[in-house]
Amino acid sequence: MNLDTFVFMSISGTIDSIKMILSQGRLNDAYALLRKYFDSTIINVYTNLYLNDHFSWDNLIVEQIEDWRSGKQTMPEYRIISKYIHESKKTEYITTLLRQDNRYRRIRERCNDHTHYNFYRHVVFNINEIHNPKRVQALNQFQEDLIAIFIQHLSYSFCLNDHYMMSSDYIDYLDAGMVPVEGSQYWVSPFVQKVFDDYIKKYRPEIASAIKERTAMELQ
Amino acid sequence: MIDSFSKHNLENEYFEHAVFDNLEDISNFYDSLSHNIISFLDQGTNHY
Repeated sequence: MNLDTFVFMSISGTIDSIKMILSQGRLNDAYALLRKYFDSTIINVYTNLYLNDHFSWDNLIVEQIEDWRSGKQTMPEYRIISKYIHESKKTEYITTLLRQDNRYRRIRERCNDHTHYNFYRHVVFNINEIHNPKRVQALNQFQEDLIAIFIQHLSYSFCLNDHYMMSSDYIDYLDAGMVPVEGSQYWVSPFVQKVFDDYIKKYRPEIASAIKERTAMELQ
Repeated sequence: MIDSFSKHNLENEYFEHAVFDNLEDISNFYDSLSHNIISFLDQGTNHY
């Protein structure tokens, strides 16, 4: 197990919680969890990028991440970790594409507006007993926001850890005591290819092309 | 579970919305990714 395995399991739980709450018609509460999902993904990208920048054979313990993991220190605030990601050369090609419009700023504003009841209109989106002619329209927006956050996380993850996409074939060969087929370390897991097709290619083809250009992994 | 009172007052279009499939896809993806990493992680060489 590493940091990411636990973080991904936890995020999966948050997504399940969103589904449960949305099923109850509590769209306003679901936005509070969507904000948490957004934060979780940025923290995950930051920890990976920070480790990528600081981890080496001469520095096996990266103090800031170790202190966060052991409970000695909190994660820096969102503004700081977001700035760190946005100013990194390693993630620049993804950041440039993600920030070509202001959609992520607007998503955070919507999340905050719902979480903090910044406007009265947000109150009614948590009431499931009344007919709300704007409910489905708001759900359309929620769907768009959810997908955008997922794409942002996937894009950065594939940029920083493209080996995460690897299919099990390479390891299966080794486990069986066989020499892996040449190049099998670049084969992509079907579940990864599926979300790449269904989300990144479908909604952000320019990001899909950029990832394919820069990775050794054999994405279709 | 969706109680009958709430369901009655929410629109069918809401419950049949594709976002529920998206949430299923995304949750399953993170679970699969986590297990994929576990399968190839070399715990002896990667502290994190």
